[in-house]
Amino acid sequence: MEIAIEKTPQMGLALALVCFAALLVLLPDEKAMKISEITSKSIGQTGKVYGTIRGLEFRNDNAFFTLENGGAIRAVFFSPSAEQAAQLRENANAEVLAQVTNYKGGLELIVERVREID
Amino acid sequence: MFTGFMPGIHANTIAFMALLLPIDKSTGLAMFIVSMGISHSFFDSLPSILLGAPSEESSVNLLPGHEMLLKGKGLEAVELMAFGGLAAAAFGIALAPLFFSFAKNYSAHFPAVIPALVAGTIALMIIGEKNKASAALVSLAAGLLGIFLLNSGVREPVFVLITGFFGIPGLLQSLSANAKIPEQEMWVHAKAGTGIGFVAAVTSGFLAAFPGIGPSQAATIVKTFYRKITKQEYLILSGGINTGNLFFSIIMLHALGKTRTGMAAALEGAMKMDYMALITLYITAAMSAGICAALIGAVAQYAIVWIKKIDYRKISAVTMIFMAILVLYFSGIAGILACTAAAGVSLFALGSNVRRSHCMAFLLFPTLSFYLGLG
Repeated sequence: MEIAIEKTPQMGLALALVCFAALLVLLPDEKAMKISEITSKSIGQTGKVYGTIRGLEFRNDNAFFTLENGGAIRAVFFSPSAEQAAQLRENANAEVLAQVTNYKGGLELIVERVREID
Repeated sequence: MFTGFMPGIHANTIAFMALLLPIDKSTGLAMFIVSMGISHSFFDSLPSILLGAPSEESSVNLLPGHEMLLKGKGLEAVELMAFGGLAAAAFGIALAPLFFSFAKNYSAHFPAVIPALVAGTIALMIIGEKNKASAALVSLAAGLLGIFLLNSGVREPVFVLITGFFGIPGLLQSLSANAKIPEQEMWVHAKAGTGIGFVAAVTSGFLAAFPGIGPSQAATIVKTFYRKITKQEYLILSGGINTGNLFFSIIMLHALGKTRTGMAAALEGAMKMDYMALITLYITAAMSAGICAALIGAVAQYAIVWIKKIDYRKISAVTMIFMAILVLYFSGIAGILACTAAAGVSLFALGSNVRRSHCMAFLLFPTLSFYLGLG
């Protein structure tokens, strides 16, 4: 099939728009979630949670801690990179991007990214 | 767009600089790296076609893009490469599952196939020349220089050699031959087959799997096993392979954890490559390719108007000095010496009327040596 080269910009624009729509659907909505408002209805949701890191433990290359801020929730960060692990400090205030999950009947955050904040 | 326009500044350089910044290593950063890599693959056709043009006297060795520029068809050359990139993006999406499965199931056999493929490519390229002795000499010299420099500890050896083999000689020729850009057609009325875009996507998929084979070697393989291709098709193929290679390198990173391009290496440092990341980055790459294909024609028109207003010899001189400063900055005096040696090999190729793409042996020989356990 032959295509006129001068149609390249229009074809490019069409491809870009389709992909943009796909990205809107795919990309996680990084909305902020308050710990006190995380309930069983939040399971499956991904968002930013702000809190203080308590009870930090590293076991088998995974990090386990509780995030406190007007409530408390357990969090696990599977195999954080060295750079991400350096962001995890006991009593540090952190912004955590995580998905709410159910683990053994309780709510838990599966951490995707963490950033220490002032 | 900036990295594409600036000779010597590669998107990978900016990507690695971005990794050093105190910002979140996140999906956003990875999307930035992918977009920049894809944009670079489109826009770097502008300086190579519009700035690296030698005079007509040396047309035997001109790349097709330069030839078209000297015939007033520089814009068409840019658009053909953009069409190739867009076609590779579209077919890259369609072929992704197939290639993913291929990489997963057959990667164990790659190390056995790669040496034969690389050696076969070098042989095919030499056999395809009239002056086989000079072609073999250029390949050998470039290959030995590559092996030496890549193991020497000199910083940015690939940049140094690319500048020496492909940047400096063309610019030197332009300076000495009083090259002048003829009047350019500002509208494109040409047609292109989607078949060659498909071939580019398939070829770039294999390139991502087999390191060391570059677009010009791939084009030689295609010409040998597919059919003789016109220079317009060569440009589509070349543009398609440049862009498609980046698409498939994202798959290779996810499927095998191998970094086949600088972009993939930067991505490795930016985020964990899970399945969701693969899909997100793939779609980001396709979106960037679409935007670049939409913009590049208009940008090229402005560039052509701008370039015609200024002295082309001055542009060549400034570009050459800029590249030399970059080599000195990144790689020191040793880099300048290696760059000069590479330029010498390349000028010998030009003088012997053999293709400069033989100089890509500087990557093929070290690859061959690595897979044969010699280096």
